[in-house]
Amino acid sequence: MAGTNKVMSLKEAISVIPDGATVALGGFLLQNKPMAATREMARQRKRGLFVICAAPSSLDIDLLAGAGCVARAVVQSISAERFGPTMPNFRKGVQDGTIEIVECDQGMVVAGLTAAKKGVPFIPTMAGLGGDFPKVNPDWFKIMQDPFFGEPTLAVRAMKPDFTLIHTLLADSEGNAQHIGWPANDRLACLAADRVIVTTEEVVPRQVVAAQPTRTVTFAYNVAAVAAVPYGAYPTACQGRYRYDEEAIRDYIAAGRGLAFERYLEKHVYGAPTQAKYMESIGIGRFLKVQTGREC
Amino acid sequence: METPAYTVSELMACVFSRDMQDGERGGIPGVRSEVPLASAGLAVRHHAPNATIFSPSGPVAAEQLVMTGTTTDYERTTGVASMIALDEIFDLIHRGTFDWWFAGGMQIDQYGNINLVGIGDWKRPKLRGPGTAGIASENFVGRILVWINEHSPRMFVKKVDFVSCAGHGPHDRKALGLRGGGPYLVVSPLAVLDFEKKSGRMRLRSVHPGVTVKQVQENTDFELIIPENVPTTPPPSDEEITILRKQVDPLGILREEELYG
Repeated sequence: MAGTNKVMSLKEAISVIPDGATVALGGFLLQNKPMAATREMARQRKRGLFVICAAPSSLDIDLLAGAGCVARAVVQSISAERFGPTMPNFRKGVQDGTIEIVECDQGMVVAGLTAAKKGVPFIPTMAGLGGDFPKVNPDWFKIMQDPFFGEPTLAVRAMKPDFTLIHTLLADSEGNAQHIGWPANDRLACLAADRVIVTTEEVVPRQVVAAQPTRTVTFAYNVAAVAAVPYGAYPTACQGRYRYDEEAIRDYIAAGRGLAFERYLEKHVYGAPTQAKYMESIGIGRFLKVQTGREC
Repeated sequence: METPAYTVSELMACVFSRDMQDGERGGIPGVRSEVPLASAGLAVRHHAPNATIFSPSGPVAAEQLVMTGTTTDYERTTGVASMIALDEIFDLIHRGTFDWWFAGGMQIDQYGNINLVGIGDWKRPKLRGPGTAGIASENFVGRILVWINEHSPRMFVKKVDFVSCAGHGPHDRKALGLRGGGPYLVVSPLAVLDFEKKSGRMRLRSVHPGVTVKQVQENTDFELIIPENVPTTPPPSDEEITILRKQVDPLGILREEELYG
């Protein structure tokens, strides 16, 4: 039985996201980040997004912040690890008060997404107990006594993405998408969402995916679009295909720290309307290098 | 015998390694794991071969306790025998599976409350930090091992601007529902510190070679509990430094200058 073919261009896939939508980002820190999708959101000048970082995030949310797309964000850890302990545009947005924060421990994000997945309004968790989270976000977190034994727990309101964006190594045309590395929080982020937008290195026949079903992190029923975008996680890594580009990450952070970020966006985002143009703007050699580990 | 030259990060890794007992269960954080990973990698090769160490993606063998570019590099996350997702690792933490886990911080106070969120008013911070990561959840493990990359009055403060991870006071940990042991050991570039049981206040345990007690107190914005005799932190042994450099950190990441802020 052939499923619905959802393969479309990145531009079409992202065009369904309205301003003000709640958008969850998959991947983990510098791995499998949906970078091409965030660049396309910037190009389409999305505004007022509520971004849920399903796991620690880096250049993905920072690029959205730098392009003025983000109004609010659920965050637990935003950095580039050794390459940058904080991310410049996101940090500026929070310090200037243009980005509102829902302050989390990763366990609280897990709870919020799990509540959405289960269709319950909230979930009690141990994560965040003792911290200042309910003080700063009382609309999201409340200390709650468990009704059986009276112990304190933290009630976390459901965090339901309108869209979850993930980038994977493979997907079939129906939207069964696979990693061969660590899925981090992608599966939960997809189950919690109304709709999922998959960018993938490669669209493959269904038989390829069905040969290893335990690797599939999506459920095709709620996948709205599949866009084939080779190097769609660059400059972060796509596990099993290419590594992150340390130099490009450092260049990005340097551009964000100075006054050069508008120029960066002009060169690599607004002025590079397709993935091919983006790759040309960086230089093809860089992509070959992260894939092969050497100059080609 | 000549003491080998070492960096502060290598010394910190040795101090944490010595605290890890054979047979314990511990975990490496998903972000900024350089010192934690090195300590665990050293411990399993030096004296704790039967420790169970979890990375964010599952339990790892010694071969995965080797430092690479970042915490979640492919070879590290896929080297597990059974892969778990991010939600599952937090389930395990909350139900009390672990003897120890690591926490970093941008501010720590006299009770061990830790802040990773920001400096100044939460709504309009002077400096936005990386965020809490998973350190609030660590109040459900036995011992929280805290590494602080800078020992200064702006890091060791009277009161943190945001509590990411609750310490030993002024609150009552039990009333907050915290079942774990809380912050246990704090290692900075100057000293090793712990907490007095009765008062929950931070206590000086040892000063690193070449550092004075006075220097530690001057770089701390609150009054430390200082015992009459403060020993010197034993420097890395030849064996420790050899294991670290040959087997755990062949790229020399701990020998790079630490960057923060």
